[in-house]
Amino acid sequence: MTMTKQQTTDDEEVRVIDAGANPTRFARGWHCLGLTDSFRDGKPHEVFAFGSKLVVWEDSTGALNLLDSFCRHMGGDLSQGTIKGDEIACPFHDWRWGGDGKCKQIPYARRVPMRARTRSWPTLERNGQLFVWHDPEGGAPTDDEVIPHITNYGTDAWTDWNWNSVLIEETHCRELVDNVVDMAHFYYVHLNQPLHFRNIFEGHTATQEMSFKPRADMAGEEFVNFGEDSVTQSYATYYGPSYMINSLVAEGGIEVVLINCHYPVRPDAFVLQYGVIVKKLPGMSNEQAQEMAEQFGQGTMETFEQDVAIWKTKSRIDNPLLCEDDGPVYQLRRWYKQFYVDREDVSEDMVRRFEFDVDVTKANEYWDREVAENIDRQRNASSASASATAVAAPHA
Amino acid sequence: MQKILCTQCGTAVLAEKYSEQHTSVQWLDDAFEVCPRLKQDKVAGDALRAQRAIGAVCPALHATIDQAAQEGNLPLSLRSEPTAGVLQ
Repeated sequence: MTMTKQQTTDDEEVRVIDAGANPTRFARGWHCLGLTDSFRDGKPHEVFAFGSKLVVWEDSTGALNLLDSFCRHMGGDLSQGTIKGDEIACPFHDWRWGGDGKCKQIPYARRVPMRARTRSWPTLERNGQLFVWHDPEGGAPTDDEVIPHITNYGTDAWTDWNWNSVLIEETHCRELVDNVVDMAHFYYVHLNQPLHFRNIFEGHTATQEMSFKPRADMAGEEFVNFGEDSVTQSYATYYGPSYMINSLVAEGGIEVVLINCHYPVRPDAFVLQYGVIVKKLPGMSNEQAQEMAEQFGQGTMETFEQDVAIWKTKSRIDNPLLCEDDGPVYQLRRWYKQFYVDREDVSEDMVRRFEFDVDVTKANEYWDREVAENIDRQRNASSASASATAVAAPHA
Repeated sequence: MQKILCTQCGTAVLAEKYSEQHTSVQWLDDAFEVCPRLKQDKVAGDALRAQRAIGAVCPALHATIDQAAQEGNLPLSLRSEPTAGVLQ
């Protein structure tokens, strides 16, 4: 007799993952490409973004220009060319392109042909960073779609950016954006325990308001930690699909502004960038303060490595199975979708304000217990090994 | 989600509770236009929004929702799928 699989009743129906597929289009919005200073070295810079290759260069007025990198003449790569005056010169035949996308001159030719125009990308310099506007429909940003000024940046009381950049492959950037609502992963992945958690989505912004304390059973492990038993207030808002400003204020007086931003390279790859500025503590020299910013930058890198380890092996999932103690994943994705549809298809429910206070009571009851048990176990293990050493010593 | 009228300004929103501590609020209009409190916050706090003030909610509305739940007019529900921000 062969075993046959039992029919399940409706109650026992197996949940099946709908992995969906990465969208082939890229989000509409401002995308941060990095610190402006990193593009101001007199050389053209290649940027792989939006399924293509772009070139950034500084002209004689100090403005940063952004063009498609492939020369419309014979396809030469402008990012391998040279800056000549206000123009970028193609390494193939020395065609000169201006920041407005027009071919300004062809030194060996009698005249520039008609329609000698390539794609010029709208740019914005703000907070010491360079932004590019991407819109598959070719439209401009609205008055509301602005990247705010970070008022603390550029003041004497705060450090300069400590900035990092990393290419994340085989992952769609939605995984990164999902973290906005993912209350419980902060405990399991980032070793911090959320004590309060709220989301607000409105227009092109998505906010996460959270307070947290570090997991006491992880003392000594490497992770972003504002001090044992210290509670940190965190306010993080995405302005558009890819640029998040996160203000962190710890009980001990440490204040940090963290930027978490990205731009897509391909449908399954993005460049993750993050930077921190730190408020200088009383009596701190500029060097000491910058060192502190570097430490937070390093800690942030470790935080993202924790995420990357999960993304590397996880499945894309369009139908997450949620419990009542999770954050509003579906509503976040409804908000996020506005950047992947034509403007005329942005529906009211994508942009109308939505608030969600996660109930963290049950989670914290369990986590406090688990942390206490882990600490007990660590204590017992260390006292057991201490007595084992004492016994072993005479024979050594 | 269930329609709730703010006791202070009469603004209609959709609200839901999974537990005493949890609250979901789906606004049906431009919140910064219809809610006097948020409107005031927005005018006063535009500069601050970049840092943190955007996380603020209207205390009167949240008090209304909590009271409705306590009085049994907003029964606790199980997790639901998102509700469109438009009244049917």
